[in-house]
Amino acid sequence: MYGLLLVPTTLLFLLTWWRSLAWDTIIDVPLFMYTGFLMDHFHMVPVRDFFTYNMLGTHVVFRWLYHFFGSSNLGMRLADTAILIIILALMIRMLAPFGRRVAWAGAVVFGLLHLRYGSLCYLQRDFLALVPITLMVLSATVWFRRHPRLRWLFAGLFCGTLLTIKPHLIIGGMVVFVYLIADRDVPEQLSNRQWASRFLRIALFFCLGGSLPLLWMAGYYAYYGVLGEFVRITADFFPLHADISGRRKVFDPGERLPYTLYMSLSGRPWGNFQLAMGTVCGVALLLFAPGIEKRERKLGYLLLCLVIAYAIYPCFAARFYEHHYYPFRFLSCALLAFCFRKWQFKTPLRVRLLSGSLAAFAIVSLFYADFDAMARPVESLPNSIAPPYRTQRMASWLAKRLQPGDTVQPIEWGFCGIVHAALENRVKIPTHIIWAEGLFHHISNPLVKDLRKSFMEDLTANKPRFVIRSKMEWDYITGHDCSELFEELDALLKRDYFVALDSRDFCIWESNTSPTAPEDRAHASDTGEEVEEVRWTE
Amino acid sequence: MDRIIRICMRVIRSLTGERLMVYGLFHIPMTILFVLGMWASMSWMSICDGPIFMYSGFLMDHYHMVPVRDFFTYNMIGTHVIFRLLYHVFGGSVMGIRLADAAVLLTIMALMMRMLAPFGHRVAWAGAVLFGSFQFFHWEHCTLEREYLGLVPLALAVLFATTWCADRMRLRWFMTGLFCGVLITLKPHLVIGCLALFGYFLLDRDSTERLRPAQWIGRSLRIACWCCLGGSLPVLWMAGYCLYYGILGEFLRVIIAFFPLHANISGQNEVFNPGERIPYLIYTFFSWRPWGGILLAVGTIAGLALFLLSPTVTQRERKLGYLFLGLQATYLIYPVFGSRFYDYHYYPFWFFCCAWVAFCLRKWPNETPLRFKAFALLLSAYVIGGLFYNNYDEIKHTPHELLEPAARTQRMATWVSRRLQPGDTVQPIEWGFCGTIHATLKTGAKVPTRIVWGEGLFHHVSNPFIQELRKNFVDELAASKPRFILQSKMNSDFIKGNDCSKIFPALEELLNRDYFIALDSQEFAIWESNASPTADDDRARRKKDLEMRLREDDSRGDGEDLAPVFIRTN
Repeated sequence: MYGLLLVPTTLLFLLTWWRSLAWDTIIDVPLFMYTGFLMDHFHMVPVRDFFTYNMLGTHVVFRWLYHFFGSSNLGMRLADTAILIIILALMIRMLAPFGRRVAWAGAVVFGLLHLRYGSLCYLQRDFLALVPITLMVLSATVWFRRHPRLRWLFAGLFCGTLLTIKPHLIIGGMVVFVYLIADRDVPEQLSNRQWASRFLRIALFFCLGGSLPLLWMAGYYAYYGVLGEFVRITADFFPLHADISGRRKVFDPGERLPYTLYMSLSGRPWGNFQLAMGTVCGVALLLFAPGIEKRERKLGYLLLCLVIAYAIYPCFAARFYEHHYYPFRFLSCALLAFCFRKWQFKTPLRVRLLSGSLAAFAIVSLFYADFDAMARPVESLPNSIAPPYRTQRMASWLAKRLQPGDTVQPIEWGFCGIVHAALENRVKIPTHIIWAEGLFHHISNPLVKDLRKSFMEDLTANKPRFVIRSKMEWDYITGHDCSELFEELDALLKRDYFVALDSRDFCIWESNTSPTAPEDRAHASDTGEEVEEVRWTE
Repeated sequence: MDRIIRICMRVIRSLTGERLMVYGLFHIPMTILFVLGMWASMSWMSICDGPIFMYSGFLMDHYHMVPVRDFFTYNMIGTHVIFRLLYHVFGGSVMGIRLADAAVLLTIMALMMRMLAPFGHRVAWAGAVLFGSFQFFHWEHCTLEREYLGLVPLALAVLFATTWCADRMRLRWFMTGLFCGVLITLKPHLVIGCLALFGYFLLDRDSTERLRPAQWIGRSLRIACWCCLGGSLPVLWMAGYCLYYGILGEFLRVIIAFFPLHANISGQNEVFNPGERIPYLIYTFFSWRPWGGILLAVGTIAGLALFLLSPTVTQRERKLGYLFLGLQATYLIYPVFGSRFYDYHYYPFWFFCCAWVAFCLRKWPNETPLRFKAFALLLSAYVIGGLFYNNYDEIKHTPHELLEPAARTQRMATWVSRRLQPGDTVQPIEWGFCGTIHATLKTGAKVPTRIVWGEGLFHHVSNPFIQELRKNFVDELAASKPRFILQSKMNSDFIKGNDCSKIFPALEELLNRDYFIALDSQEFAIWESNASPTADDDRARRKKDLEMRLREDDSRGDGEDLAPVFIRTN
């Protein structure tokens, strides 16, 4: 077990980690890192200084990640590594009751799975959330055994922390809450009244702990005077955002439920069949194998319920992106690792064989079967969509021209890589808008109309030197009440800007008053760029 | 936690009753779905290998042609004889092929039910219906494949080993060997399952007394002797068939000279480069491919874990389960021999996967701990729900992947049948993806040469065997002068890689000399003989079409090639 599986896999993990430091971090994370940069460098405040529908906790975490690691590719990879190390350490502690083999296997499998199969999910919010999730589980199961109130309080505190990252992540907190109620050392039966009293007591401490992060968030917004605006976004914009499917399309009436059911019952939660097989086998061993201690079984039941809860979790957002399954896959790894358990001698041979063979099959087929691709990312976007080349092109184009005080307005959702290019140039945005996809869906909604109007006013008032707009389909939501057209923006661009660089996937508009405008206009006309060619222009 | 599960289960049971819940949620809806699937499937066009084998059955049945002697084949005689009978009974129409598939499927399902009976009728019913539903909703393109046909003798071998002739040991060994031998006449390496059956026979003893090594050897020799005796009969039949038609030598030559070439092609239809084969085999063996999808893998492991870990599994069930496990392991390895890992190569493996999924629906004895029942029910609901209950469109439409070749086949068949007269012959040139052979089958035309599977002409072209095959093909074509030649232009019909070529100068020369292109599409070309009675009309029509296209191209301002037939080199 050690010589053939755990030690080589640990070495492979280290090798993969070393190589992964040069891999790209793309899509959402550069956008969040950009908000961290704005907060850290320009002391901007979420909601007040830029429009966001993300929770404050996420922005604050990225502010500190930016502060410590910077925004270069290596910086982001190091930030991801730091978080990963914390998660793995906590995972090892969490799985310790199953024995050190299980703990070691769980950490190595998850680490390697994250590096190789999760390259599109580096530093995603669901990944960051694994820290409070494990802390919550540890508080509920391992720490504070002699101080039940502290245990309830801290479990609630970490559950509340989840809320500051993504509100529906607290679904796991509900499971932990039930676990805390059911987990009693005393064997004596409780009357209904005693159960009710126990429930209320735990709920009180749990909510007390959970309310602290919420109060912090409320206090933060109240301090900056944007609590009302934040509540308005949560109440008005959240439902619009949750009305978009994983195909980046607004749901048609009656479409949501069958789609959610279809996605939930598909193999998607697992990502790969080895993890599915290993998890099911781990669960079966935990439930049925002889010789499992009560303490292990209790922890196992908690992990099992958390797995189920986090399998349901992506249904709330209804987009079913890979990273939405991170807590599920993390806990699946923990259950898969149970196959590595050191069984007692009296355990029937068939149990040991099932456990060992499944563990070996999962590890070998996940990490060793494709010799050519070993220590390389498995899941990555096709070259036609992958943003790094575009980001690099835009960033170097801008870097040659930008002067201190210049601003750049990106218009994308996150696929084109424009915000990342802005981040690389450490340039400020002139308006409230970073995530621009919100300008193009549910356009008849009053909040979105307000957003479009204030965006235009900001743009007109601040006159950024460059406006970069994505032309990729991936950056726009389709369906009812969605449109890529934005007449006021088009009019402003035609009046005050010219196309300085037009590519298949993006277009850079440069202000007519820019110091490099004559040169760039001449260059653009030399290369045959025409304003009329821009796709969204009427 | 146990307490919570117990309360939930008590509530569910008090509301509905476990039996009603299991039958109401799984068995009855699955059976209805299966019947609907079968009904809907009657109009589905079969593609790839099924129609080609049916064409060989048609040639044997209608023209009394003999495999190897009258048409080149690298398939076993058993396959051709079965297709001859299937053609004879059901015909080669769309409905005929579908009915043949349904007949084989129902036979497999009946045998499967009998095979799973020791696990209880719930498992037997669920296993059979699950397998049948898979055939209609997930594996539609594998209609009448050889591995699918092989399930009949395989299930019979298992039944003889476990259920039938229990009192007559020798008959049991003999009959099991016989059906293993039948597997050889379909695909030789299908016989790998006999290893598991042999192991089962060896260990399956009623007596509890320990045997000495010499006794073990004696027992294994006795079993091997009876099994080989039974197994030799189908092989002898095949040899006798070949001898009767005087083709034994040629048949052996095909096996020795052509089999290794055919086994040197990967699943990407590419000849292996040196050193490429082993990593490819390892990678594919460990990939998702054997499982087809995550849900089947989940269901299989769940059933297997329940079987191995449940304290209430009886000795008889345990023995049968271990045999299934052994057979499943051998059939997981089986596709490695063919090294192409096509879906249908996993049919025997999937057959046992279905058995394990069905095991989750076992009627558990009362003394079984509740957590077993809860686990089994939840996993069944997830797997069966995910596989069959969440895509209602499936029963309404022909599966998407079947539409493409069907349209081509229909177009060619209609075009050819309007012109074909008694005695005319048609030469298809494809592997099986374009549908030209299926079109030939639909028109009922005879092939003028020994070539039905045309892909063999285009790989390992420097090999003496292939060179001879190509020479004979062109000679026969020149001598018999078929009226039409249907030629695939699809990449998937040609093997790529070292020593492979789509270019066939002798064929091109003959086509350019004696034929003209009567219909040219993106994926196929129909060549018509210059001596054809409709040649003048078709040439004129073609010319008119080309002129019209030229005018269209001129008006668009681009100069497109008039006759872009890829195979031309001059």
